Amino acid sequence: MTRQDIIKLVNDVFTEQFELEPEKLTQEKNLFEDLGLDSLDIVDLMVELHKTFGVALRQNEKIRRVHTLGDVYDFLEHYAAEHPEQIHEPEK
Amino acid sequence: MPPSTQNKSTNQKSSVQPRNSLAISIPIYLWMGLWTALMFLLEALPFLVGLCLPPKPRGAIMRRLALFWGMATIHLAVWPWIRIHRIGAAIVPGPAIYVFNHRSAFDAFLAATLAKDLVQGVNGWPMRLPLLGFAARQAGYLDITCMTHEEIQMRAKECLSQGISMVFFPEGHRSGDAPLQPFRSGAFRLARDLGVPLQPIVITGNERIPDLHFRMATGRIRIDVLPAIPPEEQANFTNAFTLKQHVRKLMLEHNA
Repeated sequence: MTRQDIIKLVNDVFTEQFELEPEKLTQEKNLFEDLGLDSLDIVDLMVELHKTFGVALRQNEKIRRVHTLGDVYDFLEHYAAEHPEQIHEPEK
Repeated sequence: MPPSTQNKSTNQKSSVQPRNSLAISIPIYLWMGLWTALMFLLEALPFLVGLCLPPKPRGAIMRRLALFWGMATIHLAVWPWIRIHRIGAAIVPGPAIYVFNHRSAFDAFLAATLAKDLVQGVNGWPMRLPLLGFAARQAGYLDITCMTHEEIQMRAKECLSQGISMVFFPEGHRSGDAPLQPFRSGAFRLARDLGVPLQPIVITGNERIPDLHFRMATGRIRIDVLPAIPPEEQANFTNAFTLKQHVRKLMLEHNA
């Protein structure tokens, strides 16, 4: 899975489940201050990312360091590189 | 909301705001102090009786006293300096969750305009005030700063099942005359999960009554009740986040 695949899938979650405008979804955007999520919304986000990528994020300590949308992409990119067998491949 | 619209909205509000000053604050606080003393005298006996009762009837008495005190404050203790009027949709009957924008320390009293048996979700410091904090705890008010969402949901479920409504200020803290702050999802999640109507309420005119330094001003406060969102309409939203963003947009359209 490439970084571009990850960015597309993560952005699809934000546009479809959180109804955020695609143009708002840039790497530097802070999930809390810029996109308006709070700690409870992050739980919903993790559930949706779990459905999309097959990764149980809540058990992962590194997820606590995620603040920006770019951090989400980086986290999933590293996870996909380290555990390729656990990540769902995107539908072509 | 584009920044240009935000600025315009804020400027419009600022231009009609009176100045806060000591000269205005002193008579208002003196008058409020007199009313508060009178309310203490009137409510002392039922308060003491309430303390001797089991938690459920004690809570009911404390909430009645809080409502009575709130109504006296907004209709008598600040009159004629501050006039308050409610407009808009009807208050939804039965237990519901009400969400208010939050500009000033006076907002907690304004919940009394609903004239309903209710519990407020409170942000820490008021619960630590001597006597008032104690009375609020006895009434079942929730200090949401030291509770998990699961604990709040359990308490909310108990309250709503007994016909007690809930009031939340989803901005989390006072904004003064700044634009409407981002919302927290808790109240919206409760409404969806517990299947109760959610009614947004916009307070305007209270930006400086009092200001963030507790200096008073005279003025009119308008409480605009927006139509309630029933559970079946809430279910059309993907999650609590989209529901809260929808309500925030509605409030902004009403000059919150």
